[in-house]
Amino acid sequence: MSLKYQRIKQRDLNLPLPLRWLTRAFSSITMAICLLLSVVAYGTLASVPMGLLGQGALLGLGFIIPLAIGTGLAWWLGRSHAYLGLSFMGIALLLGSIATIPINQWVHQIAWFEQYRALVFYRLPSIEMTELEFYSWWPMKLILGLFVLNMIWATFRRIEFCFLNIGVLTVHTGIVILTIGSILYGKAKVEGDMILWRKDLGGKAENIFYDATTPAIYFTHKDMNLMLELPELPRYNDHPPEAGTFTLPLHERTEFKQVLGNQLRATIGGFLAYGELVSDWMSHPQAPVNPAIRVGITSNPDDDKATLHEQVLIGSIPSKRVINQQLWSVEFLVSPHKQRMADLTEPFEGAHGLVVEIPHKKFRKVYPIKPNQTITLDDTGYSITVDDLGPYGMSIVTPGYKGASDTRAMLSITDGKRTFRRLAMHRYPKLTQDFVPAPDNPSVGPMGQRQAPSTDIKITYLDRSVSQFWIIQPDLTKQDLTLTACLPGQKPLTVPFAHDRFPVAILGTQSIWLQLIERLPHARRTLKAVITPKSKRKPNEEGTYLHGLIPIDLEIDLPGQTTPWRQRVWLAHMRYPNPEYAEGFNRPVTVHVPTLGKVEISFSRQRITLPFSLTLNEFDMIPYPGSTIPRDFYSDLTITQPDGSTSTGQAHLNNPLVHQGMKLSQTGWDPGNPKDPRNKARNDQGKFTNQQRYSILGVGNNVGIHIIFMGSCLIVVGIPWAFYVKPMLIQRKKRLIQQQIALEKTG
Amino acid sequence: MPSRLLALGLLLCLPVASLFAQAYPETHAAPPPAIAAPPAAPPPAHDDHPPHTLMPRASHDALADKVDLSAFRKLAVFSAGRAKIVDTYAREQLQLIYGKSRWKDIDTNRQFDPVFTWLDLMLNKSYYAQRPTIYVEVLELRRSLVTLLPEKDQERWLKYGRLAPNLFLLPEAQQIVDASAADLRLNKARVQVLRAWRAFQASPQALSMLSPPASSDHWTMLGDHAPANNLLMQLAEHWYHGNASKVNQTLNELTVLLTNHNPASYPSMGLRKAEYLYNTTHRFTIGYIAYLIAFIILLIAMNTERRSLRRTGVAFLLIGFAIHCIGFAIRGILSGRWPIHNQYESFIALSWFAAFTGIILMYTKKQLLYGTAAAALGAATLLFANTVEIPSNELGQVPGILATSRILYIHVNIIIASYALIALGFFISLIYLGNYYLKGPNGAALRDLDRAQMVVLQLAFWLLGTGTLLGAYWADHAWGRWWAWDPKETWALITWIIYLIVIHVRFATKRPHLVTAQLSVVGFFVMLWTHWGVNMLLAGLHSYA
Repeated sequence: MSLKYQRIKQRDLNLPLPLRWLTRAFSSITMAICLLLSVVAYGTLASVPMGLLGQGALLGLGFIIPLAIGTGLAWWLGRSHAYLGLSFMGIALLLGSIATIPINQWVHQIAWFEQYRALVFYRLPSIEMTELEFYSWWPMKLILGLFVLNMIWATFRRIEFCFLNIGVLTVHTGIVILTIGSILYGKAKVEGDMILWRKDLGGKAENIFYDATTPAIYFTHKDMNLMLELPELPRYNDHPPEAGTFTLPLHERTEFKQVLGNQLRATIGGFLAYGELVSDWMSHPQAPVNPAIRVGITSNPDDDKATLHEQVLIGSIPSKRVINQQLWSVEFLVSPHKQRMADLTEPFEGAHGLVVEIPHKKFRKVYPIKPNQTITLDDTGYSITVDDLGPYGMSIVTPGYKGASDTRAMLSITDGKRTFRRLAMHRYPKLTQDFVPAPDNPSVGPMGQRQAPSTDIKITYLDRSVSQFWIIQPDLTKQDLTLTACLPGQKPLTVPFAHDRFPVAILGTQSIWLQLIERLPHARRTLKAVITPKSKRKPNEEGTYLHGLIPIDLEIDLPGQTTPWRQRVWLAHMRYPNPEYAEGFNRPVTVHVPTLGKVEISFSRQRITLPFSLTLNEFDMIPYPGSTIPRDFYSDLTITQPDGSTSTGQAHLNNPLVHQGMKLSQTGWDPGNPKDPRNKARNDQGKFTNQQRYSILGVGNNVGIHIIFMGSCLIVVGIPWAFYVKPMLIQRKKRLIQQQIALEKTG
Repeated sequence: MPSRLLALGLLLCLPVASLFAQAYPETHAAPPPAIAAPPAAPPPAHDDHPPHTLMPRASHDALADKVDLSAFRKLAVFSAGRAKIVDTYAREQLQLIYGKSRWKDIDTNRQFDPVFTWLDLMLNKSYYAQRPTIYVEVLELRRSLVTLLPEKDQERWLKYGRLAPNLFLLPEAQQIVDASAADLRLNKARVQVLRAWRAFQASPQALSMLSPPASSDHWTMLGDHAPANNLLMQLAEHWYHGNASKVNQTLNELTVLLTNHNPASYPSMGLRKAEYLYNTTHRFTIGYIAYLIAFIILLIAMNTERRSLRRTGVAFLLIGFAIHCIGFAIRGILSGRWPIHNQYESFIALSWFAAFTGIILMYTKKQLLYGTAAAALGAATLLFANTVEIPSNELGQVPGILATSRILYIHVNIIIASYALIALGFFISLIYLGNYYLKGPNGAALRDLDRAQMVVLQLAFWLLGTGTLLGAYWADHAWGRWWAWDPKETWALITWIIYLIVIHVRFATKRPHLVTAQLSVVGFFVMLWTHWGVNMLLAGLHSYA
């Protein structure tokens, strides 16, 4: 205890009790150490995921408890038997290490640890802060504030203000100055980035950059652009609209009313932190009737996870109502013609068959067929030769059938007088066609003139070389279903489709099932928001909004109507809100609001305006000598002031351009698509045309950085004084005093 | 109804085909496999030797005995931004393919020279087709892959850690590997296997082994130079036929051709020999033996005060340190930069600096104690580097952000120096604690020990503070924010706070020496966590440091 503190403590005795305690506490080193340990605890909580922290704590306890017992024994014994003590210590170390193994195994079985393995405290739903926000939260501010107060007070009361102590005083002053600097810095900091296109590719002067963290929503209506900042938006946790855990009305804000009027109500109805928009078929009761079913193909119908594939079969779209496999196929038919059903269920022997009808002769018969076989149709005068059986080779281009595939029979038909060919389709009989020879017409090829099938003879081709299933909804509006199965070499079978699943293939103990998951009587294509499972999220993109989705519920009262007009739109986050940076579903959404007109909405980041504008003249990469490995990237920029005066500069990697207190750093660039061979294309001037088209500049200010720098310098200079110069001076003083004493003695 | 459905099910006894391959609807078809094309075909058949026959083990092992690679292994090859010797390259490639630099025959337990195996892998691939060769690091992926083998063999292959290249040619194996892409954690495993596979498929023709002419710095590939390619073809043929004398002759011709192609730009023999020495001595980490001997002798010497022991101990310490120095210097020369850019390098630099400081303090303070601590630290760190594969221990280029800054050199060097001192202080504090608990709190040596630990820790405290602030200066410059509370920054601060407490707690406790020693032990582990744990377990900006 310094003499100064002893003096002051004496004086303190005159103070009233609580004040004395207070001043004692703030002069104590113990309090400083406690506060520093609080900073350590806070930093640990903010940097180590909770699961890891829990695991570490348990493992540490498992290791330390035996070690502590062993050390205690070692100490107790060691005083008399040093080596016995040492061996106890060794045994304790070993036991401690062994103890960690079962603990580790146990930890891996507990779901809590798995759940919180990567979850840092500040990401909990009730907190939802960025790392920086968490560190500048009030508890941390309180700890640091108390620490600085404690330090200042203790310095005044304990340390003599003399030349010798200049080191420690400098360090403490440095810490205070650094704190003041950081407060200023934190208050004034803006940080974000901007994207600039190369001038020769049409890039213009830009003076807008986007904040690094604050999200915003943009409404464009009649040339007016409205930005609403959304600092309230969650970051890490999903709030699906149906859960109702997060809603944010936007129409209550004054700026909103100024641009979009008092009538429109817009509410953010939820938030998905990490998801994607998927186009999918859903049933909307208001939509027209359009029966569809969602089916799953599964290897074990009792296990949800065994589902291999899901598909929606839409009765009204021929190409989308079928699943075609090599061994089986399924078709969803809505109110098929009775005749078609009768044809499909005709029994015959073999893998392929024809149902032949000659209406004017009242002839109808079913024939099993093989390639190159000729059938004489009793005494009708007709005969049919099967030229070929197999897949319809080309892709079908008929509207509605696009992308569909089918099998077909190529037949030659003779009625005694003439011969023509018929292409009879199995699944899509409507696509059946005739080819009639036209030797006189030179524009017709050897196949003959293509025309609609002759009505004199009707032929239906049935392909049963694989198992064929039909799920049939006989009535457009009634929900009953039947199942028809035609298996190779078996009689067709029709049963009510009461259960929601049936086997399509069985192989030994393995079976493949088709499971009806959902009925969609009013199917319509809709955008659906899907939450990305935790295991598939990129850890460094969590909490960045890059995969964030928000639903906006729009509502407006219509004159003379009791129910308001309502619409929900899903917005996917855009790094930059401009339509030219749209990609996939990450784009602005346009809504036609009754009585208001077109409104464009996008979800991006807060926009900040710079006091000057920037143009990207050139962007280039500097490789390591003799290689193509990048060593540096730079943007060559022109800075234009509002008064029109210009200057130029370059922003390099690690060497930013500083202008009017704004630091412009090279943070990103356009890599193009490395897989695309055109990526290396250059124009006449030797510039890339498919990569390095744009540059991303980090923009930020640094208010107070000089104060911080000064504080740092004081700390760095003060420490060696305290550690090395002061003891040296004391030593010298001691020597001098000793010499003096010696002199006095001899004198 | 259920019985009818069952009957329907039973009707469906379909021909045994690869049903599962067809069970996926076409729209869900797997993307084209990332593992392409089977391994390169063996060289063309010779009249007296039918193609596609497997080399018998006896002739393979005989070839390994007779082939002379002493000159070939010291040839230069340009890869990943620098010219290295074949020996280094072969070790790297085997590390990629096999996970270790020496291939082991599981039946005979014989280990093979890395250069021999690497040449053999390129010229005689079929020999490895059925042998455990492709390293599958992650157990989960290995477990799924071995399910493709007969059940009785699965356990055995699982243990090898390496699978046969033939297995990867199965479409099912490719499907398993591709499917891992969907799971982020398994994706790492997939990337590792794909890298191993790509390295396994490499062709010798693609090796850049012809040094550039004076006007350029572009190395030419063997396949692009007709005479070299011709020799390579001959080599492949002799190798394939196990003709050791012809192989040696061709290797000699190749050596002559390559070293005389552009002698001016070819790395000097001295440098290449040094690199070979560097490889064979486990990057000079065998210095731990000398350090270990020094530590034991010095520990005894400290207690017995015998001069001869002191001298021997110090001599071993200096030998260990000399080896340590050479290892550090050669790495610097080979990579052409101050070698502190990745975890391996900073680890070696850290221990080197600690040993250096310990030795200097031993002489200036005339206390053997510093030398003992330096020896303990040198032994522990070099032994660790020798046995544990520390990440990114390959010599190569560094990311752009690290290459363009001068402040970085100072920042990293100062931080490493402070970590080194913390480690040195830890060993001194351990000796203090040992003395304290074994000999009682009033031992005469304790005062000296306390002074020693304070000398080291005070310097560490100052350097850590300065280094961290310099880092902040750099971050302000490079990242636009001087302090971002990135985990590495937070933990650097926490480490500093521990020593801040050490310095102040001495005013507030009755046993400052003991508390200092205890906190020094704690601080050392916090430092280790900051240096290693944060990089391994927490994501942040410093992930390359």
